[in-house]
Amino acid sequence: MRMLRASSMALGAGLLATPLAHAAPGVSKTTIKIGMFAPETGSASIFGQYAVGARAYYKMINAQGGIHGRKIKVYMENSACTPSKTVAAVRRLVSSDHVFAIHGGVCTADEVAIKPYLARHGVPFMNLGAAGSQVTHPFSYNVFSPLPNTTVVAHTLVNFAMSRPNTKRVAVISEPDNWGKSQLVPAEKLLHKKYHMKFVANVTVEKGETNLSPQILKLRSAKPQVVVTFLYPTPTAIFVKQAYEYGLHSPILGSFAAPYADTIRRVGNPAATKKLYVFAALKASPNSPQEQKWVKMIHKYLGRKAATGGYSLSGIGGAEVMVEALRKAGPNLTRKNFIKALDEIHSYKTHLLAAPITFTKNNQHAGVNSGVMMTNIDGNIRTITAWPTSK
Amino acid sequence: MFLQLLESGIAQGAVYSLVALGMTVLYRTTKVLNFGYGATFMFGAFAFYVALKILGLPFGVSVLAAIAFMLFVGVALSVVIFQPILKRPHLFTAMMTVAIANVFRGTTNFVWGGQVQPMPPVFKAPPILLGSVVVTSQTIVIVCTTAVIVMAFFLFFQFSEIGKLMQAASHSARGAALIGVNVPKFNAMMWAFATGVAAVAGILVSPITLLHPGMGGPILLKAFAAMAVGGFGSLPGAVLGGMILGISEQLCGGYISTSFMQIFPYLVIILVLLMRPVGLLGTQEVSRV
Repeated sequence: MRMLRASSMALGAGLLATPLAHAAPGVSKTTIKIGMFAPETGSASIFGQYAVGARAYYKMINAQGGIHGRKIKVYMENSACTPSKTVAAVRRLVSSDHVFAIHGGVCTADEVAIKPYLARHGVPFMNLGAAGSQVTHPFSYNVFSPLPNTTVVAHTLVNFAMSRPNTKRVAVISEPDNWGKSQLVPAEKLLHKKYHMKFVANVTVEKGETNLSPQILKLRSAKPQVVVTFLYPTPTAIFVKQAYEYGLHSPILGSFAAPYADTIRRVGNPAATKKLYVFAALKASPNSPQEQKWVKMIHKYLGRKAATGGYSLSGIGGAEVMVEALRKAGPNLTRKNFIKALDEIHSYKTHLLAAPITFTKNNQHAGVNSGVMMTNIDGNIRTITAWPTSK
Repeated sequence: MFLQLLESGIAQGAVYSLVALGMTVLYRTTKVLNFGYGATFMFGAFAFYVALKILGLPFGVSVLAAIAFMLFVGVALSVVIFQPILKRPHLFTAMMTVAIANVFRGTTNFVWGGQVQPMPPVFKAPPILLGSVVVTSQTIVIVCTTAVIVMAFFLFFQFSEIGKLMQAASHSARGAALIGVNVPKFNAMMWAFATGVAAVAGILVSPITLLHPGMGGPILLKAFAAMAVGGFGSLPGAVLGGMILGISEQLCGGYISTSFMQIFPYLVIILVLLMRPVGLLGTQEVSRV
């Protein structure tokens, strides 16, 4: 009888103790479940590569013993860059897979759609690759972004254009959608407010256009000293290629959506990309020796066919921040202390991203507020912050 | 500026014409409206990419290999998929073309992901300057190739016995079979022609659009529009429609607004179809009962 009572007491104590020890959903003694979503199909599937680097990094952490003895288990969903699919996918991750946190999303509209749901359920959410400023504005206590947003990109491009000596004429070509406007509007404002100027020509590229000569002719006739582009990867490559063919030889500044090395490869004409500068989230080109360690890491954990371009490597930055905060949150991991740990990330330097990451409680979850430009100087791909004196 | 826009309009129009031409050939002879043609020419471009970049074949051999492969794909599609469902309603065959398009896109997406691949132009010559007008070598190649293909199809359908028989078979498959025409064989040949043209279109267009699984979609829409403007089933109509669309689009972008470029061709279509519902060169089909 005494033994039965003792057993009952032990069982009762165990039942009481279990929820206290493992209170956070998705956390067990051996695992931390992380939900991830990205487009694996559809026209935006190229941006799904952000998930590749992040997944490889988590696997590397697991191979090194995990975090406080726990291995990271990634649950991947295909969001197809469609808000309705994203909402369904994230609900599945939270309510069926019971993930601890979400590290996902590369399309701003998807993330805006899912933000209220994740906030209501208290799920920490690290942006994977979306750049719209709406990801972190308006502020939400649980949403964090480790990458520069569209406002930062726009400001960096304008300031870089104006760092060219005696620049008086800057033109712009952009996507007409929300993503394009989220860069065009802050760029116009900054140009007006800080430099008292307007774009000398402002043209757009509609979806699917392959012959950009009307845009190029308009830009050419405005005689710009610099052309700023807020275009997706394929239109960027088409524009750079055709601008050269149709005699628009002004320097071209590319947005972050079209990584430098990828754009060079797609254009396939070194003469056309000689005066190309592209915003970079990374410290160095994916082809550079310093990034090869990470390329090898991706190959090791995800196979030789895994993508190792700019998007893939950029995705590692957010994974590094996640791991750092999971470590800081300690062995008694809860969503609350994880968010607290993220809020305490200050000037955190990742291995790959060009700018340090800072989050502050209550007002600042857009982690990066500066950027660099990537270009080829004397045969070497380099990152710079001001117009080069020689090229 | 006008002449430069005209040049780029002709170049763009030639692309639309070429794609519309492939679809028209198939529609004219088999009555199948191929909604998957955009994906088909994308698939042809990938076949060329595999031959050139992966197998390392010389450029000319790669072109021939891609065309040969797509001819085979055309025959296979006809024999395995479309012959068995030929007597089903048109909607059924149309949906089948959509399904096949998704298979083509899915296959390339599976192998290469959404990666955009660069493609070499047919000629690596620098652009030619005619006064202030820049004419790229790719434009010359596309326009000339389109002209040659149009002429070849025109001669084939107008003057060759087989061409005339094919058209007769499309009007009455049963009647043609009764006089000993092998209709399935003709259909397979037309599918091969259409997919062969798709391979040529893919090879010519991909250096401009770059190579990716989604490259066919936007051009397919314009090619449909070109067919509607020119008249469904009319070969010269497809070319004329493509040219009108390409030139109007470029002039609109240059003189009105680049934001208006996508809408303007459709306004042209509405106008043409309101004034002449069969299209500019289409004819009203009259059946004797």
